[in-house]
Amino acid sequence: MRFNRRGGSDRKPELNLASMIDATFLLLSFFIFTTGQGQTESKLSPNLRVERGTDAKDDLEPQVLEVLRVDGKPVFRLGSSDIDSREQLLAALEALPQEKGLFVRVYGGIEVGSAATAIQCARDAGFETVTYVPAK
Amino acid sequence: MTPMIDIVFQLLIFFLVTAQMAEQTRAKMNLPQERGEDTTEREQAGLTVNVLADGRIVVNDAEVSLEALDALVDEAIQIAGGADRLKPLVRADRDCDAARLNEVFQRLGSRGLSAIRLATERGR
Repeated sequence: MRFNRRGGSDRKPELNLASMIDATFLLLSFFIFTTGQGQTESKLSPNLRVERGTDAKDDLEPQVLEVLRVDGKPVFRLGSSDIDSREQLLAALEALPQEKGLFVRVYGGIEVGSAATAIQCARDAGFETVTYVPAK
Repeated sequence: MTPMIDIVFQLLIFFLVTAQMAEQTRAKMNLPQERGEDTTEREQAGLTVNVLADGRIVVNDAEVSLEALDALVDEAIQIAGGADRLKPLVRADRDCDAARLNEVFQRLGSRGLSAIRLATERGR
């Protein structure tokens, strides 16, 4: 009696690599994608670049925008005029010579949001150098 | 089916862990709603200072005092290779009193840092 030794039970086991390669490529593509998408905390937000000035008064300051609170409301003071709207502020800043730069002096008692608005308007008006001056 | 289930579960765990970590690395606050600058290049800050609405200062998930901030800034300057190469990012809550922001700016300025960035978020 002869048994067929070439039957299925005697075949050498084969390792099917296809599924492993599929999974590997999936993981590889996932890591590549997430590495490109993931950003560190410092890069998560848009930001406004400001130079930091001294807190001393300087008579040579060319153009100063003050952000302060008057009668309980945030006001942008440019020269002798008090401005309380973003549109007016932008228009006033655009009328100034931008190449001289702008000092933004921010007083206590005002919200950071108003200070950021002043800096943003200065940037939008075309000022390349915007210097933040902490007021006492 | 077993390998596929293994992979699916691994991916699920990975997503859960990374989502959790991403959430924890950011201090929750309402940033000023401004557009920011039109720039394509975004430089690495090296130091991120969070100023919360109540005036507390948080760096690397830890609350610090103004005095402790000095030490952190010095360390960051040393790592960056000089004060001129460090461009810190200040993330201040839009409702925070600017007096507190002024204190932080003065502290940063006293360590020789001049170029500072104020974080904003685009309006929703």
